[in-house]
Amino acid sequence: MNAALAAAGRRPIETTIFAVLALITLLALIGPLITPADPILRVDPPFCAPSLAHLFGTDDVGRDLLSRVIAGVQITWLLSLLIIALSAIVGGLIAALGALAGGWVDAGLDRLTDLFMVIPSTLIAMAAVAAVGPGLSHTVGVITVFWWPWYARIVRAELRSVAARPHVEAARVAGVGGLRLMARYMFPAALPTLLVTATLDVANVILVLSLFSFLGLGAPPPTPELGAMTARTLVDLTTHPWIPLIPALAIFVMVLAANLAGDALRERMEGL
Amino acid sequence: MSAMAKTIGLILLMVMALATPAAPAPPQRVLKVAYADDVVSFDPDNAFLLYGLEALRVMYQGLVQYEPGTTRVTGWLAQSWSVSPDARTYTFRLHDGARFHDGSPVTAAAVMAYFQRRATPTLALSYFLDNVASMSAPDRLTFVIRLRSPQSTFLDRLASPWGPKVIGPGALVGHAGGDLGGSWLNEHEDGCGPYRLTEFSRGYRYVLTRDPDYWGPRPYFDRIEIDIVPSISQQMLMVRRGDLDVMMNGYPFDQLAHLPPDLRATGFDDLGEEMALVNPWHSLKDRKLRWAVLTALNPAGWLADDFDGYATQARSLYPKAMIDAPRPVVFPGDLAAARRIVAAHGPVHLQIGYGAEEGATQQRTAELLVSALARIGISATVMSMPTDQEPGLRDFPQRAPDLWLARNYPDAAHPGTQADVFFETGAPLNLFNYSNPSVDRLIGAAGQITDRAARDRAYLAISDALFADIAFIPLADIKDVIVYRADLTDLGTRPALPWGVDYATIRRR
Repeated sequence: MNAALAAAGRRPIETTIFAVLALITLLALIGPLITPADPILRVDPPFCAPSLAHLFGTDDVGRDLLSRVIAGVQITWLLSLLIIALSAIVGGLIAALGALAGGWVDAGLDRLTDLFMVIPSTLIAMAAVAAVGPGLSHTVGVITVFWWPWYARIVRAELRSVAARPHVEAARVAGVGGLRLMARYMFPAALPTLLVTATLDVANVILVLSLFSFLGLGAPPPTPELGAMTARTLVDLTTHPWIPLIPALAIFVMVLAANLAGDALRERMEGL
Repeated sequence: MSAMAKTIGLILLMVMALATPAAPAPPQRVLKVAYADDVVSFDPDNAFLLYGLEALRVMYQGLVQYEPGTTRVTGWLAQSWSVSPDARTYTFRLHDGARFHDGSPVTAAAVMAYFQRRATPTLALSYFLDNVASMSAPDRLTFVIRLRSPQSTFLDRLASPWGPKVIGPGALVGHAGGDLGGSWLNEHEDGCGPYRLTEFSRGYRYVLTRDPDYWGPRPYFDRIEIDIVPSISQQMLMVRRGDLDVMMNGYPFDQLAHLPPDLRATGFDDLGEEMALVNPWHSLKDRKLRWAVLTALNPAGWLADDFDGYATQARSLYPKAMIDAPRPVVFPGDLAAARRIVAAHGPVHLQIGYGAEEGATQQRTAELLVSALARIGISATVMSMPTDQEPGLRDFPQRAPDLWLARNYPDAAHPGTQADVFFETGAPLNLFNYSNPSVDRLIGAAGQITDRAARDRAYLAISDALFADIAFIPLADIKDVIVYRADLTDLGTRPALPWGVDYATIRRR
């Protein structure tokens, strides 16, 4: 415990960043338990300025803005993590399958990855969501479809470099092969890179999710999505600026924290 | 004087001439407005316009119109008219001296030729004349219409902003093509109003220019410039900056109290009442559940602080400008009972839909309703769809939203036009195929009544019956709000002219 505190004292900025990240995650996990009001219910007249009664004020419908922002953080943060997890799993499995099979299977999967990487994924994803209809599950599914290739490419490169390392060669000479070689010796070596990439990617996914909801391609109203909350109340920017700005600020804090945490993690990994 | 001195003198004169400021050009009388959406067609017989309606009525004129600020019918091209004792023959006496923009005179024969075009069934608005049996032009300025049966809405249909507007022979003969001049009339006009359409750049701008040969009073503005500006936020910036003179709809209600001193806002009651259509074909099949929903949606619970005083609770299923009901509909008030019904029913999720044309206001109202429903334990989400796809809901009521928020505009100020379009069995905007034979009978009987007070009582009885069935829920009379530069006056708004000022009367002080 003391050692951990001492380490934290040595790296105060990193510690703060990870603390913010932990706070966001905690907020996302227990948000519904601590929101002061139901984010869907009207609690007071619309456009109440921030006060002790409503720390972030009320929105244009009279809902508690703090409660809606907490619910919005929950949706955005957890969905971002879900998309990254799904993308990493799909991408990692495709890369592992290619590395295991080799030959034309590897080449074919690599071309498939190339194909997904060269198309303008965000635009296509928007078109796809617009076609199938807005909704959280549609958004998550479509973004994941276009997000995994980056992970496949990174894991594949990492597995190729790991394959030439002495301990993998030794394992192979000792008769370890196939799935066991991948699971025991190769994939764990690629995991740190995958983790850093995923951490750095959280910010990108948050921005894409916010963009989708800003454009009305997220969950249907009145789901408290941060991008949609900002987009819908932009006309109030001059008269009741807190209503569009606070959700935008929440996006900014999440993106900044995720980016800085990714950087810090990468530096740590490179230092190892 | 030497040649050198002459040259220097000439140069000096030229320099002085160039340096002297030119006399200021007389200020051009230009009115700048904007539409958030494009105009599909300026053909008065073939397009249900909302944007462009006020432009159409200064390019074209009909026989009668509504007086500004009222729903009283007054003459327009017709200086007088009479109705036969059997209420089937309408005789119009036209103004002498009116001319079409093609230069030809407005005569009874020309008006009849136009009315024959209007009655062509292939045109979208031909139904306005579907009860016309015959027409005649006994002399140069007398036009007679004979109806198949008495129709109390007929004069209102003629005064409607979508009603017949006379097109000149220059278009009907000169540009007839194979489609009654329809293609040409999409982007041109041949009316007899005070303005001509002098520029039509689809998706970008329309310009109306004052007709120097107009037969009536000369309007103040020489030009009306109409830009297409889809973003309401941009329109707000433009009107605040002085780049627009009038913003005809969409200014957020909550910001009307914060207008800069050089802008004014005026609200007027139009014919578009905010109501909810209840879809009884899936989640709300159960009448008890519909009753619970009705209890939650009571506008008294959510309307007070919204719309900044520009809305009042609806008193019936007719807009206030059409019938100002002496006693309002009474919503059930037992929220606890509503909660019990929902709890006994099990989880209920509803979808609230609205047409995208009035997106900001409708979405806010829809979210207020979601919040109201949450109070009795019903969850709901909101969706919008293009307004022109609304009629398609009738074909798939099982997949349509459970509640449809509508601020639809009836054809005219006569309550019969509201009942015919929304409430009657098979009516075009009866989106969830509501059908009640006894209501149909009431509508049929009310249509025969000519005494206004008795007629209104009959239509209010229909409203009560529909409300009792929980088929249509009257929510609010929301005013049409126009934001305009403070030096403008005589806006000439009319309840039957949504989102519009009268370019023939508006002027600077």
